[in-house]
Amino acid sequence: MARFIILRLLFTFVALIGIVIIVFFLVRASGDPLSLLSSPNMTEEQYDAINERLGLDKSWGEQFIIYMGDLAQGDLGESLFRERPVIDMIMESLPNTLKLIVPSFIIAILLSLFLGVIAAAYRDSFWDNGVKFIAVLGQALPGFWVAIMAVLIFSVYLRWLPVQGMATPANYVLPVTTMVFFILPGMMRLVRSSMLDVLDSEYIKMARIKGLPERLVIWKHALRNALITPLTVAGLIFAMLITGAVITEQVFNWPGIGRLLLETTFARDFPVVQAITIITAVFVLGINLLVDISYAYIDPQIRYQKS
Amino acid sequence: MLSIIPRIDEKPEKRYTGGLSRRTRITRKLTLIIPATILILMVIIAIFADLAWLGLPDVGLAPHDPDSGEITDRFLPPAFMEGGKTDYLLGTDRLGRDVLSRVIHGARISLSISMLVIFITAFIGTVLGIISGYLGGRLDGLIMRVTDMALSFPGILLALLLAVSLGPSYWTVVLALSLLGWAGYTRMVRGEALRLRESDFVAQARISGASSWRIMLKHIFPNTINSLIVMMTLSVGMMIIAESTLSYLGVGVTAPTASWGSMVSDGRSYLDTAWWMSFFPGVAIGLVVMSGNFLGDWIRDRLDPRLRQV
Amino acid sequence: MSKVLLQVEDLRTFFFTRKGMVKAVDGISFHVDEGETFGLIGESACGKTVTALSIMRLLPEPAGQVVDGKIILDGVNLVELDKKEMRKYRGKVISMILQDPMTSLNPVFTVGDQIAEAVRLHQGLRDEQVTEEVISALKLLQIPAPEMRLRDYPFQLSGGMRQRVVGAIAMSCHPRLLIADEPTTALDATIQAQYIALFKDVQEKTNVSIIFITHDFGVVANMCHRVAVMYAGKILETATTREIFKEPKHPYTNALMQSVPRLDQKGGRLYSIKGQPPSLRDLPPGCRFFPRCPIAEDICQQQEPAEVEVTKGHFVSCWRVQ
Repeated sequence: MARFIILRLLFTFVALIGIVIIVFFLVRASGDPLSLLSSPNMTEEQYDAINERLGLDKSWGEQFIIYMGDLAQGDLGESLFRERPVIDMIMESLPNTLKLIVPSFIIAILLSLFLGVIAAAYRDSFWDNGVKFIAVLGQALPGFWVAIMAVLIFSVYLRWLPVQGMATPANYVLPVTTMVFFILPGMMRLVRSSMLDVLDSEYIKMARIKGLPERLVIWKHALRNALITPLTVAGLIFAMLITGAVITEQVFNWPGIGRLLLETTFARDFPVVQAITIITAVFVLGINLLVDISYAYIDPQIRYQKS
Repeated sequence: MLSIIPRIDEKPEKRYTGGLSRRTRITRKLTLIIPATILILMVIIAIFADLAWLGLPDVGLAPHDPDSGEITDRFLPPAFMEGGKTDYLLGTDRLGRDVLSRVIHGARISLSISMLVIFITAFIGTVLGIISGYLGGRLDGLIMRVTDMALSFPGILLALLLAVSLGPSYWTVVLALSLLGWAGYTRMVRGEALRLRESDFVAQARISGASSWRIMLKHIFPNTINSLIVMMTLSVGMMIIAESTLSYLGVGVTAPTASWGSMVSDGRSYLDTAWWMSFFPGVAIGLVVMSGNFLGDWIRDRLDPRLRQV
Repeated sequence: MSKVLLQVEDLRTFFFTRKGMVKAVDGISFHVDEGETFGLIGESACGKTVTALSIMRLLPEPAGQVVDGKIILDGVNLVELDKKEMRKYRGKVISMILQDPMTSLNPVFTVGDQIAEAVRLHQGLRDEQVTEEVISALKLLQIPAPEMRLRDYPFQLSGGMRQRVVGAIAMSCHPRLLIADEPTTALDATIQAQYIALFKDVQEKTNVSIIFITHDFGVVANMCHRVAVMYAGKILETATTREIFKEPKHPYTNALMQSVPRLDQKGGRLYSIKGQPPSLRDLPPGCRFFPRCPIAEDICQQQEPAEVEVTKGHFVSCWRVQ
């Protein structure tokens, strides 16, 4: 088990470095961000001065080494255009994104567990068809469009809810609903199919043979086994959350990391883009690692094999 | 003693009614016909939007030029609403361009990108999956790790990065989607390869001295085709949504080109005055994706009930 | 004279599938006395398991339905009970053992928990009493060091041991009827013998009636008092084990016995019955065994034979034996 963990850690680390390298060079390959900063009247000297100040006159290799050095010290650099440390910008936006993601995630998990289990247990019933219907709609209609239509209906026509900003609780309704809409169908499907598989197994038959009420068969015996699979897709869910956050923040002008990322991408403010990408990569890899370890932990077989 | 006189049955054979009602069977058929028709129509629309590829840009299904419009005709509502003109069935946008024509041309972009990416990713994914599943060992471990990462890496980030490097464009989207899209295929095909590896006919082939490559090509691959078809059909929807999302964000096929995503983005600023700009492209997306999903489900039910997921 | 515990009359269970109606069990009748082991033998897919599931009322719905017939246990027709009432019977009056011990136990719960669950459900006992019952169930199935096993997870036990645990779960509430669906098929030959001896011991101690489903005549000879031979959803012959081995009347029974290779007859080809069992979806009108029967005649193809009592307690459905 220990060996397993160490190997995975090693791999994670290597992958991380690989990603940093790729991001670093990709971002610079695009073109000169200075053209956005400078005005046409600038003299060559002024141009050079800015170039030097921002460290962009050095070769890519040099830039990379400097960057890695900074990174090792936890310094993510400074934004090219706003002249602020990237860390500050990130720390400012992160809480806003969390305020969006966390409630959405919790709501989505609860809903999907409940709906997914019911849909699997009462196949082809009204509930099952309802769940399937939501799943179909959720996966067919693009999230950004649904969000915009929601704005159209609830903000423009009905005037029930505000269009943008974070000020009041009412502001949260649409964005959170949009986020939930993003991740719910996928999760529901997952729970449902996992449950369906489990419900087919022999030990569930045994549970019924014992005479257990269906309620116990499903919520106690089946669910515990069914939950093992969704764990695998924790990584996938995280990716869904990020995508959802970026889009939601764009539609509602929500001042979170997603919106920050978009803005800085278009402005070619690469220190910021780099930093956000790397942090995300760290999370993604971290989650993958955690999932692998939890798997080994939860499955009693693997747990006991150590002893 | 054998009796030659046949016995008369005392109990006439009861009619046991059961099985599927007519309604269910009809619904089942419809689940195939409707999506398939919609998809075929969409493909036709995409191909015949205009005949520019035949050198006749002014001939085609799209009533107007998608890229230019009459400023005097801007913000016209759809024809069925008050103030609309029959000339512009779905209304016009801020530059007076016909929404219907733009939606039609958008089909071309979305469908072509999707198909392209699907074929690329299916190819790569299958190759990797078969190798990984059949050959196993360290190679398998490595490929699976990379696959896991590709699966959990948010594609949007990659797309943004590529947009920064290469500029937003048609091919940027294709690249972005392809770079991560193969992972789903790899995982699935690998599963199949693992299963098939243990089957008798493979053992037979090995005994007859066939090489690994030969086995993979002639025995394993043909048995994965069924699942591949299902996955590819189901991918259509995902790809279209991915592409339109990227275009909406400005990272894909951007304005002024008429892609469904960019149209929604354009229309966002005019929700109160011209909601149809954003509405209809979204409907188009939903229609195609739903059709793709239903069709994929239907195919899967027919080809292999074992794959039953939803 | 033993009392009759279970009486099955003209049971018909059909499956309604997309491709048609499958007559899995098409009119079978038999009875099981108290304290006896009744064997149900036949090829795969002849309807043995479906019969068991029909008695337990655990058919996969909505596809599988008992469309006709009676299943009378102690005067109560199980077919007529509603779901709630039937549940009370399951585990407490009738219990079942499935074929594959490797998958019959829930992997995430301990052995003790799984047995205790059944006990708690059917008998309102205090915790210490529950544990006592669990341990006595384990002892009944001769599981060594039962107190230690309570906290074990299924994967820590061998196949044979798991099957005993399944048995313990089944017997924990002292049922009157136990249905064993090929419980020895997945076990090694050496363990099989042990297991059968175990069954007999359990039966002696508890007087439970057993319906033993198998495809192995050796097991039948060892274990069952009476036996019924099933084929394509029908029972072709019913008799005491002795009778059936001494004087099998139905050509199918004969053929089955001949297919078993014997140590005392060397050489020659192994005998196997030519052909395949009929599709249960479109059945021809006459005797089901007709296409493969070596002594069939015209009437066999036209009409299904009626059941005839050849000697006392020995029933056969065959035109040639009348």
